[in-house]
Amino acid sequence: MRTCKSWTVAVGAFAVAVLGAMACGPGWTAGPCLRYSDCATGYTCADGMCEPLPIPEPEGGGDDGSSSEQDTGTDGAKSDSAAPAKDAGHDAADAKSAIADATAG
Amino acid sequence: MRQVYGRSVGALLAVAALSATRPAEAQQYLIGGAAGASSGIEGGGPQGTMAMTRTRVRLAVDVRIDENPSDVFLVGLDAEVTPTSGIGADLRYGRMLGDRGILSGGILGILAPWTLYGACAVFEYRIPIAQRVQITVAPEGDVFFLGTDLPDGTAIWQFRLNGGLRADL
Repeated sequence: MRTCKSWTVAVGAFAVAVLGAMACGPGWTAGPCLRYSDCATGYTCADGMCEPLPIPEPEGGGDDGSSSEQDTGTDGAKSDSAAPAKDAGHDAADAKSAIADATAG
Repeated sequence: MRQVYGRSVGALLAVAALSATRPAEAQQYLIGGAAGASSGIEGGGPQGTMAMTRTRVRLAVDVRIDENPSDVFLVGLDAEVTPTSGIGADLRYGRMLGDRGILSGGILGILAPWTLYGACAVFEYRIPIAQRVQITVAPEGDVFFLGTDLPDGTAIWQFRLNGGLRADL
């Protein structure tokens, strides 16, 4: 009788372990997390939820540099601050119109 | 004839005297080995999330000294097997409660591929199934508060039920 009870307890404990393994499944892509490794690759655990890792901004503005006048503004976008980039673009447009006026005059 | 009788009695007395005294023995180590698996629930974090824990398997050795059989030192090798794997170890000190129970506590760590360190408290109950073999049932409480796998400001608690086999080696 004692042996029977013992094996019942053992089987019960093993069942708990197996059910726990089945309930966990693979890492979360969007869901609650307690550890970084709870989240799938490309995700991080922030404030208890798995979130996509921030995508790093690509270096360079995307232009190949073939256009001279537009590049003035685009190159400005490479700088760390967005405001100077916009200013550089506007300055280039102003210079272009001034040259056109002088030519027409 | 009387001489032979006297020698015989003397020899019997000598044997009796020798058998009555036990030779001095050095202290002996009482060693046991165990294997088991555990799972349960865990919680913590900023949102108080609760979930099923990762399943963990454990291979362990417990050592006692015959002079103080109530003091138990336990060393375990732990492996998280699902859903993601990790390897760790634990070191505990325990006290026997009767013949079948052990209350122990110590430190526990997951060492690779991420790290997680904490403390654990375990009550193990041993159910004999053979002369030197027992089934073990062990509710366990863990708290993790350090490690690279832990987001800042987060502590994790776990409540597990461990089941396995143990043998006197």
